[in-house]
Amino acid sequence: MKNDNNMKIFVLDEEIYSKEAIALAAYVYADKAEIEYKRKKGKIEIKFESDESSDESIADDFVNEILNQQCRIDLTKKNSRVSTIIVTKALLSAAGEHTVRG
Amino acid sequence: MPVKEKKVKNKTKAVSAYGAVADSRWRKVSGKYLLINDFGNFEYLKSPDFDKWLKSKLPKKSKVFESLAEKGFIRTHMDFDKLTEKWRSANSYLFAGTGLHIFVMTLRCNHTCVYCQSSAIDSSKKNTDMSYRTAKASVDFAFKSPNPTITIEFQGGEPLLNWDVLKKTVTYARSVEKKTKKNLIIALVSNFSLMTEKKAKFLLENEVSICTSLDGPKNIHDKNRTYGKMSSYAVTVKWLKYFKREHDRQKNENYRIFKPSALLTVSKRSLAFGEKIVNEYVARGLEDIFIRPLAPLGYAKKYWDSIGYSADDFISFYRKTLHHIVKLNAKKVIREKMAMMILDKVLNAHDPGYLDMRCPCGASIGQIAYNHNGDLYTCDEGRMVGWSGDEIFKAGNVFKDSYSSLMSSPVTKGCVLSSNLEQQPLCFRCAYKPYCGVCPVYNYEVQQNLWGNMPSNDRCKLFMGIFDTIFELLAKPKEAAILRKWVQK
Amino acid sequence: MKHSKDEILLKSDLRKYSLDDIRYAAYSVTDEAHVELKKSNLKTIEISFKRKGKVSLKNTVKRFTDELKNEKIRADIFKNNAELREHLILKALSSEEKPQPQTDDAGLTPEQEKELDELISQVEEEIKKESSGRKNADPLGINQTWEEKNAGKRKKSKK
Repeated sequence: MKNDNNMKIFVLDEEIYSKEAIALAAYVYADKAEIEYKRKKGKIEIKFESDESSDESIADDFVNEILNQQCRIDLTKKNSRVSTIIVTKALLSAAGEHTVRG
Repeated sequence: MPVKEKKVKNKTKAVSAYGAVADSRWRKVSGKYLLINDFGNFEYLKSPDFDKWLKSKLPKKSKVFESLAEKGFIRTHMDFDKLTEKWRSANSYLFAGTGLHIFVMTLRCNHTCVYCQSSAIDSSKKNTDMSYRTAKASVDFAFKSPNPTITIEFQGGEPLLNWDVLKKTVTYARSVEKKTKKNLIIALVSNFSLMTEKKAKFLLENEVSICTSLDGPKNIHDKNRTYGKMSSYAVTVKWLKYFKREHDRQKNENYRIFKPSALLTVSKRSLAFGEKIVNEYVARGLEDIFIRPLAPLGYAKKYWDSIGYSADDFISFYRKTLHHIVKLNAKKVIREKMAMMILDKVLNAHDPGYLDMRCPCGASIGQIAYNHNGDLYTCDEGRMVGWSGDEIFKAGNVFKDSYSSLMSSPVTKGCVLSSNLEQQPLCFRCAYKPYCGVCPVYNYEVQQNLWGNMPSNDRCKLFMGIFDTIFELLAKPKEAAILRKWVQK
Repeated sequence: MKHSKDEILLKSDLRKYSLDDIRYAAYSVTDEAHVELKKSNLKTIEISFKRKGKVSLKNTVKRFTDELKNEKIRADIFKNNAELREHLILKALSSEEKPQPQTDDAGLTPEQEKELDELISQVEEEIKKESSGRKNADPLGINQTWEEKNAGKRKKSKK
């Protein structure tokens, strides 16, 4: 990780951390940091600038958050059908669209 | 109905190393493997049996195998009808509409509790009282829910500060109940400081359940719940006695009088006094104590450093206090409500209606918080976030929105999606998944997004500690027998 | 495995554990460590653990390796049961309520039967009235807002 006052530049493997995961994590950190990312030869280069702290921990927290989002994406690939069925049922029942058990 | 293994042409399909194992999750509790499946069935296994189960090497005539087969842990021996019926029973809330409707009658309060999560304001500010027009519209809205049972819970601030409107609303709600032929439950959560016999009589005659806060003996309660120069404890205890007496001596009334109940909010100050607090409840003749952890929401978030505590601290308090409660049961029945709700799920596959602990959570689809001005929130916690200026959990308004538009609002959908444990990486693998739930409001307030991040989520850690405590007790026959009695049907 | 007090580097073989398994196991210890994964070569993932606070990084890495073994087993079991699980949950969500079994004393007295018949015809009458001449009836009024319902009603003047 390169450091330049509050700006950090780091590179992640796109095979391990998808662009989608990085985008979701960047959204979570939108209030805490300015984040830019771009593809660079099979890697993703991330520029992370935060006023909150000059030490590395907030950028490291951000990488943990990318992993959080990535694991959610991994799970969605395996389990989206059951997940969707349950949520759909819950919302439809609440809206009275199906017969309700007493 | 046994599941047949597939054969492809003349060669058996390569099966996994765990071919006969049904989908299950596990965790180490009290030195054993605690196995739990989607249907809520559980089994404790010693390490050698766990290994044998994984490798499908348990002798088929062994008690362990038979028990695991009966509970749906052996893929080739699953009773589909029985298991799906159990899943359906445990998740019955998926088939119902909003049951709990929280009416915030006023934001005013005459107490200044150290942890006030309702973010109450000074009792002179009447512009935060719910008008009768709003209350009436809220009753009408609540009855639009397809749920055959509607619960209206009056809260605040201190709801008795808006007594005239509260009284009229109770009368109106009972009339709507008769018209719609639904079942209406009314509850009042009050600090009792403004209770009178006349008010009490009206409430009892209209079958209003009475609930208050009792944080323990006088020195603990009054330090947590300041009531000017007076003793909040004295007034609480006085009216608890009154309502208990009315309940105990009721006979042949045209209405039912329910036992009064009390809630404990655990603050930092409470942590050293678990046993004393429980003893106070027993002394007051209360049979249930609800040990509620404090969450860093609303007012409590601002003062968390002075009133809050870590998940580890709460778990230690809960474990010690629950053990004390179980010991006391040898002489006198006193039950812990959080444990009861969990046990109801675990032992009876019954949904106890605890909206914080279900998948998806009860945001809008299980409960609605009606603010004094008619604004509708996903839950009371969401309303507290709104009070601090962030309206992310405001789902609509009782005058401007229909019930169906509330259920399909982006706010409702966002909370439902983000509290779906099937999409939470840690929860999906957690042994306690069939019984648990996440809170998007907590996640948002503490971790800045609705989904949260469970490995570092203190609420997750806290709930896991509660589950561990209960399952540790369930592994011991004497203690298990006491816990089972608590939820015997 | 390289290590110092504040950082441990570990290598994980992709021939033994899938990337999903490694990612999840790494994720599971993010309460105690900042974790970063890098592809070392085609078959190896390098995982860096940097400790948060005063935890023992060795214990964190042990948690990771235990969780990795568990995750491999869980993933296998899940894959094996995914279809069946989906079928059972669908079955649970779509099955009709089973009628309660009759008990010996469940029969109604003639008076109770008469009362029930009267109640049924009352309800049928009400349903007929509500749905007569109205298409797309909304008996619960759930599609109507308060404002729509009360439009045109004169407000009472406040004194």
